[in-house]
Amino acid sequence: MSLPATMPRPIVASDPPEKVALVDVQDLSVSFRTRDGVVAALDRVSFSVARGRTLGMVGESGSGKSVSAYALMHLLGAAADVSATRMTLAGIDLLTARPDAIRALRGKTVAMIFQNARMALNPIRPIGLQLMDVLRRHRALTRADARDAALAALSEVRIPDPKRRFDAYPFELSGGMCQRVMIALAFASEPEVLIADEPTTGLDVTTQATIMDLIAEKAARRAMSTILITHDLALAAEHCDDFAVMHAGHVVERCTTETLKNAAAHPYTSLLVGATPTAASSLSGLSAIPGNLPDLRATLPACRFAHRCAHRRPVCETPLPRRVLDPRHVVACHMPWKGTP
Amino acid sequence: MSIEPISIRTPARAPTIAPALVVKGLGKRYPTAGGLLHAVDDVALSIMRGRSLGLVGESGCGKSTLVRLIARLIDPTAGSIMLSGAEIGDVPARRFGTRPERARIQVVFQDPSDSLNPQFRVFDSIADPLRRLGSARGRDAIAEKVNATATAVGLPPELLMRYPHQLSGGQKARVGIARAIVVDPDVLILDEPTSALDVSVQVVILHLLADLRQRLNMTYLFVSHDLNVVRLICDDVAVMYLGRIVEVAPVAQMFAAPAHPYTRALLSAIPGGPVTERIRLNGEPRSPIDPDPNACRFLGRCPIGADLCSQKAPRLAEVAPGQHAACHFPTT
Amino acid sequence: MTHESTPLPRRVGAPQRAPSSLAQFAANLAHVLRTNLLTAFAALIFLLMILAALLGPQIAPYDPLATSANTLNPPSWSHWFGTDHLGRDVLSRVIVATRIDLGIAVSAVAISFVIGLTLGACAGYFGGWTDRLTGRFVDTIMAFPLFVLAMAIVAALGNTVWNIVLATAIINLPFYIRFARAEVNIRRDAGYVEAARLGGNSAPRILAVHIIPNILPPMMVQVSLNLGWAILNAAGLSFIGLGVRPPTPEWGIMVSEGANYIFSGEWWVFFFPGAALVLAVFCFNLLGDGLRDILDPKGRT
Repeated sequence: MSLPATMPRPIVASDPPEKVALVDVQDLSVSFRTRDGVVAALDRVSFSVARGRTLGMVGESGSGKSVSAYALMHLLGAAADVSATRMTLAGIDLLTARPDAIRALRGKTVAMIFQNARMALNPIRPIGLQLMDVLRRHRALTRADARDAALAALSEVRIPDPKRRFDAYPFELSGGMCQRVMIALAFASEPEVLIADEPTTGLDVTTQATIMDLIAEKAARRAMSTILITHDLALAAEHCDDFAVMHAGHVVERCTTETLKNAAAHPYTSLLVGATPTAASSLSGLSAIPGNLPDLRATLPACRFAHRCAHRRPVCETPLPRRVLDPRHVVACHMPWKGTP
Repeated sequence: MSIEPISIRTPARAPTIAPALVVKGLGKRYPTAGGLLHAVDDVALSIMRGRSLGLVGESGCGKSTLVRLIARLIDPTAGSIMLSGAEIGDVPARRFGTRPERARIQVVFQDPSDSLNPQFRVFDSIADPLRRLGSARGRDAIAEKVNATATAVGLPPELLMRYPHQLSGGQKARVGIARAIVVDPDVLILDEPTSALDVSVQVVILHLLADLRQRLNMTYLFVSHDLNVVRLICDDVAVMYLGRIVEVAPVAQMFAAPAHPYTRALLSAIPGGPVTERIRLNGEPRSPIDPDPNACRFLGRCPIGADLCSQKAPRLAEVAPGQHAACHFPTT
Repeated sequence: MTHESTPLPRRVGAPQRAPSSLAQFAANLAHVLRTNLLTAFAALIFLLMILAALLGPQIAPYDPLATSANTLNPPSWSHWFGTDHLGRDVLSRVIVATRIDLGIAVSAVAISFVIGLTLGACAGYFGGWTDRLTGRFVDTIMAFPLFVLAMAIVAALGNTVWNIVLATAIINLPFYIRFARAEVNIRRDAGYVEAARLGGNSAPRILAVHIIPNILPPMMVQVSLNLGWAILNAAGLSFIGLGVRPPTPEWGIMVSEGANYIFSGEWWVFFFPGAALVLAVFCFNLLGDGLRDILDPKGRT
């Protein structure tokens, strides 16, 4: 077993920034041992994020988006069986790294923000002190310096009146403000990768816009890679460069935002787009996705979408291919659409 | 859709067909330790029969309180609520359950998981209001009505004997709708009915709601924070901010030419929305406790901050045909 | 596995029919008993206790009240638990005592539960003065050390079995009142309660039909745990001479009588009734935990 790298792999100057995959996951499979049987939550999921890019992981609830992120961070419990061909993050091989190396990674190189921010903060500790805790853990700072840094972090995420809010408890803050505090906590360590799991669900649309702008701003400044997990396709389309569309534990399509909007090749992707209301849609123009997600406890066919697909053929029962339509467009389908469907 | 100030409402000018729902000067104030909280302030709405009015606003704007006031779950501190011409605002909420009007206005709730009694089978959840309020009497009549309603909302009959935790989100949403329409209400208030649902289920439920409105000639008050959804199903939209209505207009008009700065900011914040230029709202919302009666509630966050805004509170006025906004400087 | 060509929603691989609630309860019960041996053990002991309570006099080998000249005999084949200071068979007395101890505990808890549930639910739902008055009532009871209060009640009202039941019920009231109040408070603003109001239900009806069925499962768990405590309380009162009078067989009295013989070496006189008490309390505690697992399927992953 090789020793874990303690420094990120140096970026060669000649590599164009987009080519360097900061997060690279190949054939990640996760299954959970439960009382009702084995749940094949993820089946050979592959995705990658280049430095400075934002990847949107979208799909219906239960499609495995959060599980993928948690697997990456080694946050799944003992009941999970995780296997992959490759899983690297900032140059570190997560498959062979020791647990303490991975623990050191979390919060420092990889940061995560969650959906219900108020729940994710310590309810009995003022937010200023929580910020100071994180800052002091990642940098050698005196109390006074840490306090100044915490105040600066609070104003950076545009929390009004940071001095007064420093002593506030999470329950005294609105959902949007708690989320900003969480962003401040996440960025305290200057991470290279940010995983945002439904960061704006439940927030007002104006707050949502502000939070997403904040994330984008920080990401741009530090050339940080972002993985945005959301079921809101419109939100993801506005803030992501690339997409990984998930269905029942499979990544059915990887493409750019432009391709997603205009030239989605997988039938599920186009159905998802067709079900999302935008400013231009009409009620009759929206169509639902037929069927339901399959029960992951049962033995599943090669294509987990086939039972919902209108274009199903006998070939769909054979193992799924991974068609590379062009360098940034990969589809897991026997008969992907080429051009506009 | 029209707003009629009380002063000019005389019998000679009263419409020949009474609107399904008319709300005038509605207010709800709560005494708190810090002062009087104005949750809802001087709200006026009017919905003609068979029409659908959307109500949008963000958290803290008072739309939940407004919903509860109109549905007569809580009592207003001011104003009147007229349901098909009959005043219902003066009956105390705890006595309203026995009035015949109770069946005429019903609510579909946001979270289907929370709004269904976990110990009740689906059949009983739907049958309960019918047993209390409906004209159907006797086991057979009730069963027939429940089955008919379940079919109307697309709920397969075998699900009627299940418990809520055995249903999917979309199925639970249908049960909530069935329960609300089983007593044949005139007005249906839908409080964010699709917010907790997946996008595909949302489409199905929206289609269902549109279909039901047409078939049963119901009147909708559709509350949502998602303007895109409101656009799909509503004829008119009212925007609420800090307890007051700041703009009312037909939906297409509001999307094309929003008049109030808050509406403009709201529209600009929608991902994939009609406005691409983001209008950022800085600053904190004003406190709803003891608000200054002589200042606009949006002052401080508004991109326009003129002296007039802090001296005189704007009232809803017609700024374009059919469009009303409460602003001294509406965009026309 | 079938493929769908129509857009009807259908879960692939999921069961076709929903099981009835009884079938589900039985399935949960079987699962818990299979996976949790302690619960299965407790259930067995519980059944044995019920049997002893119902059929005590019939299955006891000797008349529990019959004295004999064989005093203080150690356990032997003819007397499995030995004999006490009056020559009575300890085993028979332990078995027959189950009826009284269980009877007192169940009666006291039942009374306490019904009254506590009603008061607590009303306090939690209506708030205001109902809540304040109930709160003061509970505070008054809890101001006393509860066992001492029970002693005082029995001493004041008279030394009968019924008064032990009453005293135990009274000192248990705060527990149920508080629990019911808290549970109702949580559910008071739930969506289905508002829907019930919209459906024309009156407040008492909402409490009785819509809310209380939802709080019964957690309360059942508390009842089971409370039963053990009630048995100890009844035995404790009898131990100090209040309540059940000799020669009636009752675990507390038997321990009290046997206490005299600890140092002289006749350990079986107090040990077996004491063990019966321990077993009973242990059994109810385990059952409570098991009940919680059975009734709350959402708690399982």
